[in-house]
Amino acid sequence: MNGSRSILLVEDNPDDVDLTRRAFQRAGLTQPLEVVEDGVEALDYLFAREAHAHRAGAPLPALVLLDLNLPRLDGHEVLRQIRANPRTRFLPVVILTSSDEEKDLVESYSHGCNSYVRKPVSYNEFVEAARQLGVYWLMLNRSPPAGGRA
Amino acid sequence: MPETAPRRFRHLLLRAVLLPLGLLLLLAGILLWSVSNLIRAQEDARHSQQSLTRLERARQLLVDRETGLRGYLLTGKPAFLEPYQTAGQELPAVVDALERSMEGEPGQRAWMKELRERWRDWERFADEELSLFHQGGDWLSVVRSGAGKDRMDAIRATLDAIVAETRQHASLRGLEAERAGRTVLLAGGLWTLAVGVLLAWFSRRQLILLAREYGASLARVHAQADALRASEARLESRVAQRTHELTVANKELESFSYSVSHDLRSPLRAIDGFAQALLEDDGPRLSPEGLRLLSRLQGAATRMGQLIDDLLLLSRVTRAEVQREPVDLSALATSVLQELRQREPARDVTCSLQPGLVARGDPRLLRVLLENLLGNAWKFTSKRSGAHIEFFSEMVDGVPHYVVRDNGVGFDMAYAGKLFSPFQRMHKPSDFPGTGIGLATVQRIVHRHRGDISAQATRGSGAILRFTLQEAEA
Repeated sequence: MNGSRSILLVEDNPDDVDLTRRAFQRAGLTQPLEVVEDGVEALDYLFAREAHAHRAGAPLPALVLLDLNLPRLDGHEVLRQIRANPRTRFLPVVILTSSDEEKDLVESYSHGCNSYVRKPVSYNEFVEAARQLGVYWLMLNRSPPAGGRA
Repeated sequence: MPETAPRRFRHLLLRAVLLPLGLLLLLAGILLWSVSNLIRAQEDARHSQQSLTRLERARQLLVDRETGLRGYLLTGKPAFLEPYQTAGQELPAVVDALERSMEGEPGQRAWMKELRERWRDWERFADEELSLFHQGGDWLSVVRSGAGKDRMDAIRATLDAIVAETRQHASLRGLEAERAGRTVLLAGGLWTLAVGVLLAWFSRRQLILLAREYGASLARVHAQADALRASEARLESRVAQRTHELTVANKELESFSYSVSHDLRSPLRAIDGFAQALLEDDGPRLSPEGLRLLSRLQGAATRMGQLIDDLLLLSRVTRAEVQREPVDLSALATSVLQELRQREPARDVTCSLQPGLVARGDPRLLRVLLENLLGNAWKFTSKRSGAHIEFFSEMVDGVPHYVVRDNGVGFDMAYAGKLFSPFQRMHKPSDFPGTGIGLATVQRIVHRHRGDISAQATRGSGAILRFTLQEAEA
């Protein structure tokens, strides 16, 4: 199962990071939450480059929670590069954003996101969304083996 | 200028036709006159010929008379007297006829007078000879004297002179007639030629004028078309520029509202989330007032989240491309009311929906419209028993008007003008919660369907909202 593998949260807003971490705890998810604050760093983390070169050989996260409005490289481009790389093309990526725009929704799906979740304003609803995400992607869903070899 | 051209054309045509026609008529008159002249000349010639014949006859009769007399005198045979007497009987009539036919000939009076005198002279002499012969006088010496012959010779000379003169006169007339005929022929030919040339010149001039005018009007038309094209191009470029400016402004507004709405949500989530965290972590240690404040904080955050969502929806209604397809409004209304019932199952509301109402429009926008209108009716009937919500259509001037009617609290028509503006509310939030954006969104949806919406209400006894879709069609 994916139990021990981490969750990668790509989020630049420290409030949202805190709240997400808290929501996961309250939802009872025990997987370690790795946080990167922009698109470039997210790709460095996944491809073990630059500051994350030491991760070479480490397993990929079980799930990527990706915001769309990010500094430097936006979420759409990050998703595109994840899907373009044979090593990460099957990695489960959930878009987690405030945007409810159809444009963002369509673009995210056309770049191959697995799920699109709009962050609710109400904290209780947010906790519920985080719980459902965790249950589904980390417990119910079966991902292909890391490296994308089907 | 363009409308004088046909008049000018008619004028030219008239001149080109009438002038040559007049000239030809003149030519015909001259020819007629010349021909009548010729006929008269011919008549004259015939007359002269007649005179000549009569002259010859007179000469013949005179000769007969003389020779008859001379034969009788020489032979004494009365047979010789016969021609003498016959000619004597005929002569007066012939001379009279000659005189008549000679009328009009120059000098005829003098000639005839001379002829008659000589003739009378000869007759007197002849009578003398005859009476001498009968009385047995010396008639022979009279004859031998040759006086009779002299007199006859004088008559002959006179006749010859007359004949010569008449002949000369006739030939002169013939020549004149011939010359006149030739002149007429020549003049007529020249005249016809001149008229032909004139006609050709006129036609050519007219054609040139017409062509010039045609060319001028063609040039005017071209110039006008060019001007039109130029102004069209100017207009188009202006429209394109305005459209571009509008598009840019719209894009800026869009990205502004997009980022404002989305960026506003994050701090709200943080306010609500951290208030909740505080409540969870330190709730037991907070005073009841502190707990109440925390819940007010969360309520405000939730309400602002709702405002942002409604604003986003409003801006999306303005921006979205409106689809045109048949939409079953009755089915939509049924589904919306079902959702409302599910949300508040305890409410007792009777609903009357007219079935089979189909309009052309955007299904998603029309759903938002009915959600807002029926939602309002649902909301504003919440404080009374026997709530009733109706949805039906009525025809006004051939245009279907859709009506949502309720028997709720209604509103004061004095504030009806504010009904469809964003953030304008008719009731206190503590009575009826809401953001005040719903009816603004409804109005935008109706306008985007080229329709109109109006409201009618009395305080305490319900509201009626009427709207049309696609005013011009239907």
